[in-house]
Amino acid sequence: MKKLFLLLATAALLAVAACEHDLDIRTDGEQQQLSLHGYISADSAVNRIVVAMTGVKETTIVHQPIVEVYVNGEFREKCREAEGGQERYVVITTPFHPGDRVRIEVKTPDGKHHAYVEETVPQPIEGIKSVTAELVKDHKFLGEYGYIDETADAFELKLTFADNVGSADFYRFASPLVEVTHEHRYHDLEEGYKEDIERVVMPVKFDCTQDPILMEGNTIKPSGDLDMPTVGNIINNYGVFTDKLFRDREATLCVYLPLKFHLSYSSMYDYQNIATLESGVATITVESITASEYYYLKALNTSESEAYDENSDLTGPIRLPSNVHGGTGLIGFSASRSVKCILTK
Amino acid sequence: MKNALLALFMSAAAVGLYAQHVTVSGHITDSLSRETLIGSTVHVLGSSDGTTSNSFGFYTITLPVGEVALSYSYSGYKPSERRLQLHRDTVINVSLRAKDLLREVVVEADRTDAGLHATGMGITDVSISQIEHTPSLLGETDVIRTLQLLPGVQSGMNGMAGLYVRGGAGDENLIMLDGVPIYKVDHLFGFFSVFTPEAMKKVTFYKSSFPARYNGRLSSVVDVRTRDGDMQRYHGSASIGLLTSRLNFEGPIVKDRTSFSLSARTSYWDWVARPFMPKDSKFGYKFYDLNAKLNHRFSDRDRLYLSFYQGQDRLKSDYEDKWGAHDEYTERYGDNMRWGNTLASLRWNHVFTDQLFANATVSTNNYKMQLKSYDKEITPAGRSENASGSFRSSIHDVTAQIDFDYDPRPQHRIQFGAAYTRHNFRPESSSTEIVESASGKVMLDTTYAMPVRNIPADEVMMYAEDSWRLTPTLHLTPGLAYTLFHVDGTSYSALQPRLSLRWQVAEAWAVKAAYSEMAQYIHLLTSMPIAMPTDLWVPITSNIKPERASQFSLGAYFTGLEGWETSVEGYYKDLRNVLEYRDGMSFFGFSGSWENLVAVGTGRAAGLEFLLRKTTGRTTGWLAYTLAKSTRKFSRDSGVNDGQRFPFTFDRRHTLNVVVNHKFSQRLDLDGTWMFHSGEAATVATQKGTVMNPNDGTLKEVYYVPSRNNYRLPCSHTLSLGLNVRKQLKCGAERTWNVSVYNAYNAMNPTLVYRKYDDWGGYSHDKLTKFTLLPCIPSFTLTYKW
Repeated sequence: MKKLFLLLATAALLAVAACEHDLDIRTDGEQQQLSLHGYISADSAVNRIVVAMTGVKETTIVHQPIVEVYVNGEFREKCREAEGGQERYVVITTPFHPGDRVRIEVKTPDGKHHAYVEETVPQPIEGIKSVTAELVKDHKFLGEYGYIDETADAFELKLTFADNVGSADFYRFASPLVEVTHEHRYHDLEEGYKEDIERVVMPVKFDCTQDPILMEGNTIKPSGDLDMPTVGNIINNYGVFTDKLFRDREATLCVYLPLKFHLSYSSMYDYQNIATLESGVATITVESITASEYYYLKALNTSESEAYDENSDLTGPIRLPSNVHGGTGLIGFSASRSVKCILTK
Repeated sequence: MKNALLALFMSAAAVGLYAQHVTVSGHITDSLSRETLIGSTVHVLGSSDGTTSNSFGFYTITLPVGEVALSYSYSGYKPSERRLQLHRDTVINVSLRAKDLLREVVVEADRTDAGLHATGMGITDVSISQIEHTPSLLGETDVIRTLQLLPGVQSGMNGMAGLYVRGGAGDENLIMLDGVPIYKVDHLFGFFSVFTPEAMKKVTFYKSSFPARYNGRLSSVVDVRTRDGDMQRYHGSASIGLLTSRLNFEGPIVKDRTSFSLSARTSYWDWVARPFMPKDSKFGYKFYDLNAKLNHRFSDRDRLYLSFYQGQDRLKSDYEDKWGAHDEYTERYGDNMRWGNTLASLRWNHVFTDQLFANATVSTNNYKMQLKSYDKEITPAGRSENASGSFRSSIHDVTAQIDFDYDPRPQHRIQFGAAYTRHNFRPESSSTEIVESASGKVMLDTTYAMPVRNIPADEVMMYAEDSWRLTPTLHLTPGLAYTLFHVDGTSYSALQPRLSLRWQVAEAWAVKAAYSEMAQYIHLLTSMPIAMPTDLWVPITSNIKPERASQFSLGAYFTGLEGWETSVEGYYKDLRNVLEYRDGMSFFGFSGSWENLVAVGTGRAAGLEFLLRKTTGRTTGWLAYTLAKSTRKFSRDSGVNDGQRFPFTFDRRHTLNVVVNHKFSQRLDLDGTWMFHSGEAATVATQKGTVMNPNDGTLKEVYYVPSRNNYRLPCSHTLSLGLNVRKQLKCGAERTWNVSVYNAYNAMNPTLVYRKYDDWGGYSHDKLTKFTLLPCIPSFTLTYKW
């Protein structure tokens, strides 16, 4: 519907003969900022972050940054860059626990830029109480305006867990880890059509458009083929949600995993990467995340949404939230609980 | 005991002294139409005593017994004097005659309860004549566009009829039609306001010194009063312009007893264009406004007013597609969208005593937005799929209010009253029905409906204010308002003190100071700089506290030059609990979890406003300069701009407005406005940064916004001209041709900027596209008055 309004608004604007001209962007005085990114898990023995600088023309990775980790006010670790092919990352080996107050200090090697993040590692949920997976036929995968993107068989996953009592909590339903058959089909000039097939465990995308918790009370309704009066909901691809609808109670999430989906596709270059879910064990994870990560991923959902176009949108460009003091970016902290679930075709 | 006796004696003496006073009261009206004149001045000649008529043209003044000379005046009217020998309470109804048109003072606000001689500051009466003489976009004379020319007022996005007052937000203006707050104040996405000039009698604009009776918004009050209707004769006007046609008719039902006033405005682009559209693709937009008023005078002590307003915008589209080898497949689809207000109020004026005037009001206010869509697909095999849906949003208010004017002593004029409003907010409800059938048999019939969410709220308001003349040169107006708002099981209350002080330093010099506290209990949810039909008013919640504002103002005023007025006003406004969307959050047409999307912070605005105005003669007008700064600051944890202070949207440092109205003759006059704004604050992505995918840790380069409203757009300036040519026709009617040019020298002012696309479809790294909404636009309007 937002598209409709924008269309009408634009039509009204253009009706009075609007004009466009170019302007040079004034970037004098623009200050580069330290940009920190990473998702730190209390369940992981090794975590990693990326240190970069913003720039008028491009971003640059900062090599050999000075990264120090403090937990509950105590110095724990001076981190190093990962070796080999992962030189972009700074590795953190300090173990983190729920409730830890973590401060990560970052400086550029020349000491000119300094930024830090300070967050408390969230408490994980007690556990995922139940999870079911059922194969459903002809599930309708809906787009943001309610039109049907695709009708395909899918696994319907339902999982139940209890909210952490006594606090306002932020969660993320992580993309389930599932074993898939990955088919890479392409056209080789000399050998003709080729197909590489491998089995991998990978996070798979999910459809949550019908789940009121993941859609924060605004599920998408089917609209036939056209833009019907469903509001322009933004699909929660990153699976972030709050406990607002189930504070101190149990919640049941319901998502759909398509049996087959395109990872990438190009008719111009004549290739496609197709993933097919296999019967077997899937890992289902609910992460407790920080508020800043919740808002960051929610903003990413918007910026990547088809309901938003930076250039045609009157709302202007999105400023991504940040929890980096003296810089930008996001370092998220999470603690999670996972269960295994059997998928049977 | 001795003290008690002394006190008793003093009280008796005071009563004795007071008993030597009598009250003069009555209505002040136009001599021809008997239309009441709001804000007329009653002045006791040879003294500094005086008063003004209230919103119903009623005045009352308490004076010592004996001989007295009273002067009655109203801008644009010949003053009238009465000499009286007062020995008891007296009723004097006064009719004033309008001045000769050629010598008409176009700009009003002099010697009324607004303007330089009022105790309050930042108050302006805008005459209908001034509104009609402000060159306008497409010939649509507009109250809000006239207010934009006053110091301290910003238009929002270039070319829009927005109202941003002294650094406040667009939803912080209390805009009232005959005393009833109106929610949707614009048509066509904010280009035009809903007020039809022909229906209006007076517009009073407050940006400071808010009288205690006005509550509920932080930054300004626009009080629009409509015409009561001529008690003596029938007359009217009709006009036709490029965008709309307008009709006004008024007259007596029973002479000197009952009158009516009817005004209507409608756009007709839709009617003109629709027949020329292809059959399979129809698109239309129209809006209308309808004002009606009945006014009955039972006696000099009792009057009844019944007012009605309805305005609506409508967008409609219908399409038909056919395909297949023989066009055997058909799909019809479209939308029908309506939004607008319906207001009705019944007011009863009663003069209890010559010192006590009361006005009781019962009103209802209904705002509705409704979108209906359909999509019908028919295939040759007899299969069909029908989808239909609706989205609705509404607010319904019912208000009962009582206001009193009490003039117990010459030095005091006390106003007090109370109001109760029952709000019923229904921010959104929607449903979709899908029916699939084959060979006449229904295969699927499903309805998806969002639960309707009603949010009832109760609002109580009480106020009292005393306009107190301490000495002949010192005037003080203390006031206090108490408001209580109950929603969702939570009650909020606010005491809002108001204080205005005027010191007449010399005959031509005055200094004023004012302090106002305001509270606001409702917010407009919108992410757009233009007015969208999906913008939703929502009440505060148990988590979001009311917005508050404290404003200090200080001003100096000089009227020593005949026909000229000069003023300098400074202000500082402190805002608390103001709302902003968190970084990256916005409102895309639904209100479900809006509390999560916003953060609560503080703001401050300060400015200096200079006004030089010429009020008489063939050439009138004003020059207004504003130096202003408005910022917001939120806590580090709020998720707004990393806790750093940032310029408020539409913050502009310098604004200069020049308004000139020149009368060449009875037949010809020329109006011009020139507006200059230094660049407004906008958000532009000036750097590149990265984002990380939480699923696989991959990095992506994106454009990066270092801080909110980080960029200053180029300055803008607009010259608009209007020429009016009048002719008195033989039939007695007057014909006026108005030719206007908006943005006469075609300045390419920036309305929006965004990153330019390069030749490869990506974003240019060093160029912005400047979007100019309103280039040079000529228009004409033909008006007949009879």
